[in-house]
Amino acid sequence: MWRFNTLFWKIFGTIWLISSLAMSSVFLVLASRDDQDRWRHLFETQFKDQALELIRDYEANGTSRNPVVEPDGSMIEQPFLWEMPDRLTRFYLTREERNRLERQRREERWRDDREGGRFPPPDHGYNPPPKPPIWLYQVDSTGVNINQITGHRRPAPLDAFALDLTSDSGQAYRLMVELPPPLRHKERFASYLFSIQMIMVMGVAAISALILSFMLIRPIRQLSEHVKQIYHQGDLSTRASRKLSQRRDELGELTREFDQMADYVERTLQSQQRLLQDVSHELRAPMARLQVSAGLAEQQLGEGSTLAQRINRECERLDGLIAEILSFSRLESAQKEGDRFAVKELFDELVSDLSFSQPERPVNVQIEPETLHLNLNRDLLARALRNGIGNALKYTPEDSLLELTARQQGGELLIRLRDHGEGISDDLLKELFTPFVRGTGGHGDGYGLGMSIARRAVERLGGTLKAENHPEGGLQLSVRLPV
Amino acid sequence: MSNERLLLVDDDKELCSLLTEYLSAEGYRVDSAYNAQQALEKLQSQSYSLMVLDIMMPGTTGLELLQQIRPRITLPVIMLTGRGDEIDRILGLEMGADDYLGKPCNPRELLARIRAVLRRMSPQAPVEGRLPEQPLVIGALSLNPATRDARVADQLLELTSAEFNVLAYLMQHAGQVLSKEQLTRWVLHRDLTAYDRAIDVHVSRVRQKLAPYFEQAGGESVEMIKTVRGQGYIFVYTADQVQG
Repeated sequence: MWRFNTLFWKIFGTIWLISSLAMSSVFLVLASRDDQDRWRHLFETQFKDQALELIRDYEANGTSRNPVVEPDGSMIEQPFLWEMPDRLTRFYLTREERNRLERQRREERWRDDREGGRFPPPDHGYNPPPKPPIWLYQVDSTGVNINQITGHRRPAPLDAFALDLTSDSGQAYRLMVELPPPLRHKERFASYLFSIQMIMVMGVAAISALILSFMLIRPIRQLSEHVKQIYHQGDLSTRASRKLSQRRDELGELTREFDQMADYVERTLQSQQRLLQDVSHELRAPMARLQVSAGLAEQQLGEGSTLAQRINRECERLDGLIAEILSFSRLESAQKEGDRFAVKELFDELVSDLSFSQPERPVNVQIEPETLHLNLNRDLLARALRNGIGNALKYTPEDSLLELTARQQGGELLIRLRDHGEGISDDLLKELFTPFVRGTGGHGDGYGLGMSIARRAVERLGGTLKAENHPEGGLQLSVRLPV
Repeated sequence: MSNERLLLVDDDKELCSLLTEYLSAEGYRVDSAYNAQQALEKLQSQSYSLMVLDIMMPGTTGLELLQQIRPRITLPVIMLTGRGDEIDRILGLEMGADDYLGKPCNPRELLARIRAVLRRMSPQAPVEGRLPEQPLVIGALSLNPATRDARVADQLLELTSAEFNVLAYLMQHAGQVLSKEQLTRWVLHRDLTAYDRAIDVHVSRVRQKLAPYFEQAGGESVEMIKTVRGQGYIFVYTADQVQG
């Protein structure tokens, strides 16, 4: 789950990115609209009343007390009105300019407090407070600007925001303001990005992406656990949980399809095994008759007849082969669980069996801990080990050592069977567990099923069987069983 | 030659007729039964020296038949089991079969087993390992080979003939390790074969049957028959242990 290339993180990342992009753009649009509204509102509240006073003054005197601002922003006389209010500065000034202004005002206040404010501002570094880019016009009845009362000397831009006013005398005026420069947008945008709202947006997006990913990934993980169970434990009869297969979405469908596939595989395997079992079983009846017939022939030809002996030998081979195939096919239906048994007893039995056929064979048995017990199908494990031992007896010299060790390591039991023969070639090692593959140089005749049966038996027990050439010579079989 | 009568119980009629032919040539009189019902009828109407019983039969299986007739009918039984059916084999021996043979089998092998079982049933047991005429008494445990009577402190012990022999030989040679080969030869009158568990099953049955009589205070039983790893079995005792 915590590897970052998993589907979980991919889904999480994608959803989080998309949703935070969408949410933040909505937020930005809303914020900038709100910004405009605020700007307009500020503009109206800050300037409307003052403009109306100006107009009254103008109508009374014929002239304005307030000078027109030069295009470079300088003024002949410092007006009362046109100082830009603080709340508007952020629309027109860069952060730097605003900071400077703030500093300047603080200094002024400080001087005012200390010295009554009667000092002229120092020459150096003093910037006059910025003037808002506004225009006040007298408007004729058709709505055309006819006379500028105050404001910048340059003409108002075409897209300037206009506020129509009517004086007490009924004369129409128009107050215009330049829209905030788009350059400022970038700065404001950046401030939005690091605002608390934006962090909340990202957080909400992250939480929803997390929930969505969990919802998507959880059933997939469950399904994959289920598949693992089928594959690794060889338990074809397990089916997905009802909760998973009864989902009405695509995942539920996938689960159902999967169960059907498992059904199909199980049925196919079962029928194949049934067939194999039936065939071998059916072969046994004629086999038994054949053997008795061979016995009869021997009776009539006399005990020493080589012909009868040969027939008998072939009969036994055939019988042995059928028995092996049968036991191979029966493994699939064998139970994994069994009664508790002592590993030591099993090993004793194996050793006594092997010393029956090769009394001279040196064997080294080690069990750690000595009292190791298992709750498994004893027969399956015995068969696997017996086949391994049988192979070792067949392919290694009779006086070479055979080592059989069992050790509990954490949650698993490791059984090692190592011979001190010549080992086997890499080619054969690869094919060791393939049915009907036989080694060369052994004595006695095998059917090439022993190791396949051994592996299948161990797999039925939920374990693994591996073969490798020991670095110091000899073949080593390792059985790992969950305990 | 001998006039011993054998009963073959197997559902394969052809196999039965072939075996009849084979065993007749060896001097036995052979009857066949093709299912459990017929076998029971034949057993009631005729007395047989031995029964060869196939475990795998449709309807009532050989095991069930064995269960029905034991311990009422004591004739020796050799059972035929499918190869690799170790469980059938052990169950069969536990239910009182005297020996087993994998099927399909070499008829010569079957003949040898029949002879071995019959031989050990006959009064003239082979010289090797012959049991003494006097009762064997160790502590509370007493066996009388003449009457085939086993008792623990006057309580009758139910043993099959093979189990009786196993115990008798072990007691006779108490304190001495008897190998599986020896026991197989003495008790089953044949040689030990590879993966042969017949003796082990008999020994474990005897142990089980003795256990309740020799329970110690802690609920554990005194183990009189011990396994000597890689060598065989030994009857260990001290007279006061075997008090019953």
